[in-house]
Amino acid sequence: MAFPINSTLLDALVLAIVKKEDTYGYRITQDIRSAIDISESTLYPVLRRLQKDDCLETYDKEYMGRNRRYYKVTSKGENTLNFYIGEWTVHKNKIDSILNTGV
Amino acid sequence: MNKNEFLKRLREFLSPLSEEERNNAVSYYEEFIEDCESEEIALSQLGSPEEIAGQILRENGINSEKTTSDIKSEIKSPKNTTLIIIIIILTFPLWIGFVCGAFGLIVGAIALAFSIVVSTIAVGVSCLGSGIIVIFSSLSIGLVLLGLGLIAIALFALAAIPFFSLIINGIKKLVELIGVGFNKLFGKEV
Repeated sequence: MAFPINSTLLDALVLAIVKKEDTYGYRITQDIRSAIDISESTLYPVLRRLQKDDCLETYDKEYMGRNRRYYKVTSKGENTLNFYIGEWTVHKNKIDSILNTGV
Repeated sequence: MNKNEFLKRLREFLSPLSEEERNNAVSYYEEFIEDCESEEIALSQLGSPEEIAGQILRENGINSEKTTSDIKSEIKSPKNTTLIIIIIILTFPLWIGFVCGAFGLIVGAIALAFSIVVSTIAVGVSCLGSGIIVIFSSLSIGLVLLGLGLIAIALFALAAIPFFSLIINGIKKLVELIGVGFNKLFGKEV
């Protein structure tokens, strides 16, 4: 992958993935890695930070006799995500307009 | 490395964190490994516990320039600090004498040096003064006194400045040392 991803975009991706469906760490990692190339060690700090910022909350659910921690978007998380989506759309259009000129 | 080894080492490397943060991180990765269909695949994806710990510590604002050997040598420190403090308190009667004695010696040495320097200038001025007066009664003696006075004053001028800057630097270093020692003992437990 040619384009490194910055932490804001990473936050947005995580929030979007969790918003679609409450999910757990391993699942989130696999979903993100289908789109971008990041290492597993990157994701936990992001999840923890979003949790501390009140954008995500967690709850535990039992699965096959052990515990699984699920992440869920808060209302603040949803607002933040919507803001990021707006910013990303503007940004994407600007980049596209330059890249596509002269095609 | 297997799952338990990985988690154990991760827990060790995360010892600078609070217990809550540490437990949170370790259980996250424990679940991660368990949720993956294969322990080997999970561990190969995750890589080294040192690096993972390093990123988590950085995110928590802990000094990121530490090398893994620094982290390894710090692992022992929480237990050692408490032990050291207990030993210091228990052996108080033994070392208090030495500490006071050493302190007394230092103060004495400083006082001695100080008094030498001050008396030099005192001698210098008084010789100069009395020299000027005595000249009128006895020229030769007066001149000798003048000469002595000037020499003493010159000696003082030469010695005073380095002497005083030495004292000031010494005090600064001492304060620094106390600060560093304090940090070593208590700094990590923030």
